[in-house]
Order: sequence, then structure tokens, then C-alpha cells
Amino acid sequence: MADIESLQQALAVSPDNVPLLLMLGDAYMDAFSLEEAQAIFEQVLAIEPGNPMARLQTAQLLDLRGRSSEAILRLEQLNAEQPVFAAGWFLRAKLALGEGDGKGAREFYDKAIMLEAALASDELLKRIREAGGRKNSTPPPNPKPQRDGSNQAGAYFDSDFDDDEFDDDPFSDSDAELELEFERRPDTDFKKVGGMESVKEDIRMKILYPMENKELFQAYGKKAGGGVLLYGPPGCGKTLISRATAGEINASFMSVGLHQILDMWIGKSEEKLHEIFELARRKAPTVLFFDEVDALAADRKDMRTSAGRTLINQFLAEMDSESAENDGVLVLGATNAPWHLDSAFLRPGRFDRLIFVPPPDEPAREEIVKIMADGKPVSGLDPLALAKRIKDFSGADIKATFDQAIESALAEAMKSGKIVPVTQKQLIKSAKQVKPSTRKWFESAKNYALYANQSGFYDEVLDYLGIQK
Amino acid sequence: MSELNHGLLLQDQGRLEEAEAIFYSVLAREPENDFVYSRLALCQLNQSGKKQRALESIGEAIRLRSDAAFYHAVKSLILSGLHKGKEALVSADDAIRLDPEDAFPLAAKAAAYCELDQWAKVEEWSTKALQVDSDHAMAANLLTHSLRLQGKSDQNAVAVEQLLAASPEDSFAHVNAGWSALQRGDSQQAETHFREALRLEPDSDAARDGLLESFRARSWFYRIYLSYCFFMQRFTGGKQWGIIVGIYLAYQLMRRWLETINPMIAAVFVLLWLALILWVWLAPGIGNFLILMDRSARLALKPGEKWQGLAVGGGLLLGVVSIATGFGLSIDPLLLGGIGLIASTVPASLTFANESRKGRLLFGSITGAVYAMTLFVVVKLSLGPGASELDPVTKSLGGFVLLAALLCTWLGNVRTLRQEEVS
Repeated sequence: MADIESLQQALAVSPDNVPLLLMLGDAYMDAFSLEEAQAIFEQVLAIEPGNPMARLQTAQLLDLRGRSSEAILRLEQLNAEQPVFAAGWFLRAKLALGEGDGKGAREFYDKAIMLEAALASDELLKRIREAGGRKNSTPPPNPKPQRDGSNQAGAYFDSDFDDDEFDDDPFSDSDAELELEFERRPDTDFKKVGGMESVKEDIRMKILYPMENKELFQAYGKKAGGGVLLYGPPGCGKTLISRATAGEINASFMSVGLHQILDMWIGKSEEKLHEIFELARRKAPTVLFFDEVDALAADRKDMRTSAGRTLINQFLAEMDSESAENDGVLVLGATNAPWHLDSAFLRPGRFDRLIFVPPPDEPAREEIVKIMADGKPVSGLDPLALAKRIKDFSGADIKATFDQAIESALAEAMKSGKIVPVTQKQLIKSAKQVKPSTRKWFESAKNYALYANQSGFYDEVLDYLGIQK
Repeated sequence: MSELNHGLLLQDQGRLEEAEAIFYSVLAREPENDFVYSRLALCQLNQSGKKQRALESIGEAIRLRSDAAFYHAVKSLILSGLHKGKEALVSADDAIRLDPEDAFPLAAKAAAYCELDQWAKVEEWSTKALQVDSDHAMAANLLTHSLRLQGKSDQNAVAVEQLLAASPEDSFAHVNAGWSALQRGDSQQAETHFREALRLEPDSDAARDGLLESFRARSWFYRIYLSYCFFMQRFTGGKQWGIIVGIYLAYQLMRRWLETINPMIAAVFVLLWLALILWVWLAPGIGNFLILMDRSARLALKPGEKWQGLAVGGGLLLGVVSIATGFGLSIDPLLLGGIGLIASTVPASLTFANESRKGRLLFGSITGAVYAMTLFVVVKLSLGPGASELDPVTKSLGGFVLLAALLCTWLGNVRTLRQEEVS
């Protein structure tokens, strides 16, 4: 209620301020004051008849009042007129699901996510799938994409809805069987990853050159492929660099999250893991990426249940080239806690190459700053100067810096009733308030590197910290 | 493996914050799951500043299932962690009543007595727990701890041997063995055990602290200090105060008696007493200063300990050199500067590595005041007249600051000014 009051006060000063009106409308909706919310959105539409957010919220209000068909009609109109408005597709997916139309819901959901990945909702996707909305089960309703960039529905999804790509999709059947979804071909490579030159060079030496010169390596008794473990503080680009690695070798990329494997039923997790490896083998060359691999490859001494141990044994068996043919399958694992991996995983043929991914260096931070600032009202931004001030910051810390600065700009905007841009000064001030999350990781990593580093696995951490043992 | 199992795995790996987040996530789906509340409580118990929340979590588990002895035993451990030993005993008794055949509640009762510094009782209840389950690591660790603190060296040696045989991969067992070796005066053996404990659990603060003690104990003077600490540890807080006051009264009586015989002997006695006081308070700082000289060992020091080493060891060294030079060459600023530096070492020894925020603030302020006063006097004397001609205000202020530094030797015995506030 305090929010509503302060917004009303701000509006008293600036009655036609559309962003403030929208915020007030949202606040009324949160308080379930539907009449008041409706009045506010109508006021917005009187000022800006095409305002997509007001139209969206009006549709949502109709749905909340049980007038779903009317809401869908309004959304159809909105989607047709403003096809790049992700939230419109997202709400339409929800409403279609409510009507029991799983396939339609899936189509709208995919469009929304394609436009704005942050909208992704595992919960909604699960419900859509349960309602029969599996990916690629049918071609989209308008199969001929518009490649001229015209503002017509479907124009922004051309690569995804390309007929040829559909036929060529290496995972379209199998991942549906597995009820898992994987990225087909990564759209990134090393050129698109700013900074991190030392990590890239490490990956070239340990992964790319061996794969490109298989014969040469074989002549020296070395094998290409196998497993590589990326480790480092959280939020520092392990996933991004893995995707870029797949992009560099033009291989399929399967990113496997922990939630995609863990299953409460005994034996089911092992089965899923096996099927994922089988799929990767069938579609080789493939980069199989396991995030949070320390949970799947945990030290068996730490496991209290035999169920967990069997999953680890299964993972070991899948990685062993003796029990399965893994040629052309590169297994990449990422972890914040390599010291919790079972030592069996670090033996030759498994994760026998370790790559330390440190916090972003200056060029990488500069790149991240530019990305974070993109699309936001930032004035006088000097990305390099800011990057110099945020040493040891992870990507997540940089995001927190922007979030804080935006919040303080918003507070000023609320007081003045007009848009106040985020300034470089505000960003620097926020950066001072954010503690680099990587420091905690390094405190722990230093201990492991000093006291449990008999094999020299963590020498790179000591080098990074400038410690000579 | 389910999400819950993943949480349990993270907990076993010591990744408590991550495990806590997973337990909360499981509880969002299963708000009536008492087991998850109990694991959450254990997670919070072992994190700094979350013990009060741990108590709430275990309270929730007990509300959902009041007949589980394990939950009452966990509550007892949490209360011990909150320094509420007597309440911990009540919860341990509840747990024992519910399941007298389980070793964990018995060990929890031993832990409660540990919090109350009643070592004989710790021995009694940990022995009872081991009679039920001879492999119970917590009970075995508590037993060796209690035997060591009671000075039962032979029994302790046997218990440590058994503990290591039963749990060779238990970091805490090696920590216990390390302390036993330190108490025997075998710093090399202690170092081996603490290093092994750190290899098994590199994030273990207990092992790191032990390793630092073994480094410091390489010097004979620090071993004497450790013997004094081990002696004092045998007693409860009240008895420790009694001993300190008793020694002080004995000193006063002795000094007065010596003054009646020969004032010179009395003066030497007073100097020896002051040296003893300084030695007791400065030993850890000097130990850290010596560790700083060792390239490999200093890696184990935390920033606060490094500063403590520099302020105490460095301050003492510089102070002694200044006094000697000032006295020898009759340079008053050097002489008084040296006295100020030596006086600063007492509050400084209680500032940088102090776990208590209140303590850091108090002793830090006194250290700062001593530094400021010393600098003021040195500058004033260097620019102006001799020491004997210092104005009365400066003299009074200097005396007041020196008194405050001296007062720290008493204030340093107040637990709340040395230990971390639990919450």
C-alpha cells in the first residue's frame, strides 16, 4: 500500500507520466484492486493508444475476470501488431495453456523466449509439455518465415523456424524421447567472447588443436576428445566459454543441467545419463557439457546413499572409452568445487585436463559492462574506466552493480516523476557497495591449493593469487 | 538421486550455504518434512551467525515430530553452540529419555558439559556414548579432548591412538591428535597431524589454527606459554579468575615483603613480574611475528594475524632497540618512543586477531591512543625541550594512556571481549 501511496504522490506532480501510471497499475494488480488497475491502464491507453504494456495488462485483467476468450482476442491483435513484444507472446502461451492448447502454448512460449530469454520458466514449460506442447512436434503455423525483417509475426524467428534446420536438427526426436532439450548449434565462438585470452589459449592447446590434428596426436599416443574440466569461481563464464568452444569446433552442443538428470526414482537418473551419452555418441561430433559436475561426479566418500554412488559409477562407465565408444564426444564439465570430485574422475581418459577459468579480465569486464548497459538509460558511460574499478568482479557481481545503480536512479525518478538516467558516477558508487563474490571462492581455493594439492591440480590458482609455495 | 539427496551431498561436502538453499527449496514443496528441517538446522548450526536460525529450524522439526531423539540431540548441540550449556543439558536429557540406546544424544550431553567446562562429566558421557557405539567419532573426539584438558596424558595417548585407528580419514581426529602432541611438547608431531587434517579438510579453521600453534611452538618460549594455557584450560571460567587474582595477590604480598628487606630486590621482582605479564599477553603476537619470517608458514596466517604479528613482534623489537639506543645515547625521544611502542603491544595483541567486535573496538581504540600519544611526545621532544620538561598535561595524558594499556592485561581476561558474539 505504501508503494501505491508514493506512486500516487509522484503522479500528483506528473499526472501524464506513463511509466509511473504503469507502475501504479501493476501495484493495483498486485493488491488485487482490479477496478483501479483497469482505470489506470485505460488512462495510459488514452495517452498512448498503442502502449503494449497497458494492452497486455488489460488482457490479463480480462482473464482474471474470467473473460479468457476476450483476453485471447486482444492478445492476438497485440501480437500481430507488435510481434517483438515478448511479454505478449508469453501471456498468450499461458492463456493457450489455460484453454488446453498445449501445442499453441508451446509455439507462443518459444517465440517469447526467443525474444527475451529471461522470461524462461521451467514450471510453465513443464506444464506446457504435460499438455502436449513438445518442441518441434509440428511445424509452426506460418512456416514461411519473413527474411526481410518486416514487422510481421514470425519475422524474428527465421533461423529457428527454417524448414531445412528442422530436418537437420540432430536432437529433435531423441531429446523429445528423453524429455530433455538441448541447444542444437551454439551461436557463439571465441570471437564473440570478450577477453579471457589465457583461457582461450589454454582451450586451444588442450582441446581444439588435439581435435584438429587427431592423427598427429595419435602418432604420439595421445587421444583427441575425452574429458576436460573447467573450474573457477561462480559466475565467471565457464558456461559461455564451453559454448564458444563448441562453436569453434563446429560440433553439436548438449548442455546438461543437474535438474535434467536427477530423479527421485532409483535407477532413473542413471538411465537418463546413459541415454544422454548415447545421444551424444549418435550425433558426434558433440560437445557434452555438464554444469555443476561436482554433484554428478562427487567423491563417493561424501555420499550417504548407495543411489548416489551408482550414478557416479554410471558416469565413470560412460566416460570410460573401454566400456563405450566416445570418439568425437568431448565431455566438458564445469564446477566451482573441483576438490569435491571423486579422484577417479581425474584419471587419464576421464577429466584428465583441467582448465582454470578465473574472474573476467579487464577486456572481458569491459565487454560485460557494455552488454549490461545495452538498452538501459545510461548516460556518460565509460566502460573501460568502470572495468578498471571492478577488478575480481564476476559477471553476476557486475549485474548486481548495475541493478543497484538502476534502483537508485529509479528512486530518484519516483521522486521527480520523470526518467532519470543511470550515470557513470552512480555505477562507480554501486560498485563500491558490491563485494566481489569471487573472493570467498578464492579463500577456499587457496586452502585447497595450499594443503590438498599433492598432484599440482590447483597450481594455476596459486599462480593467479601470486603465491609461490 | 533426488534434490534432497543433492542437498545432503552438499552438506556432507561442507558446502553449507548451497545445501541450505536446497533444503529451503525442498521445504517450499514439502513444508511438513521434519527431516529436512533437522538437516537445515545442522547446516545453520555450522555457519557463522546462523545459530539462532538453527534453533528455529530444529524447533520446527520437533513441532512436527516431537518423539525423535535425534532432533532433541541436535537442539542440544545448537544450545551448546549458543553458550547455553544448562539448557543444552535439558534437551540432551530429553533425547536420552526418548532413545537411551543411541550414542548421539549421549555425545550431545557430553558436548553440553564441554560448553560448561566440566571436563570430568565430558569424559563420563562421551565414554557412555562410546560404550553404545565404539565408532562414534564425535564422542571419541570429545573424550580425547576432555582427557587432554584434565591432564590425563597416558589415557589421552591411548584414546588418540584408538581414535586415529577408527577414523584415519577424519580431519577432526587429526586435529585432536595434534593438540595432544602439542600438549606433550612435540610440535613436530603436532604439525604432521595438523597438516594431515588440512589435507583432509582444507577449509577447517580448527586444523589451520592448530597448524599455526605448532609453528609458533617451534620456539621454546612459546611452548612455555602453551603449557600455561593448557594448565589454565583445565579450569572453568570462575576458577581461572580465582587463579589470576590469587597470583596477583601473591605477587603484591611478595613485593611488599621484598620492599621491607631490600628495595632493589623488590624493583627487580616488579620488573620480572611485568616481563611475565608481557610474555603471557604478547606470546601469540610474537609467535605470529616469527611465523611471518617463514616464507612457507606465513601462508597459513590470516590478514588479522599478520597485522598482529607486525604490531606486537615488530613493535616490541623496535621498542627494545629504541629504548636501548635512547638510554645508551641519552636521546629522550627515542627512549620514550620505545616505551610507548612496548606499551602499545599489549592492546595491539588483543586487537587484530580478536574474534569479538566489541573487543576489537575497545582494544583498537586503546592501541590507537597509545600510538598517537607516543607520536605526539616524540615529535614534541624532538622539536622542543627534554623529557623532564614535558608539560603536566602531556605527562598526565601519557600516564593515562599507559594505564589504559596496562588495564588491558585485566580486560583481556573478559571472555565477551575476546570471543565472537554468537547469534
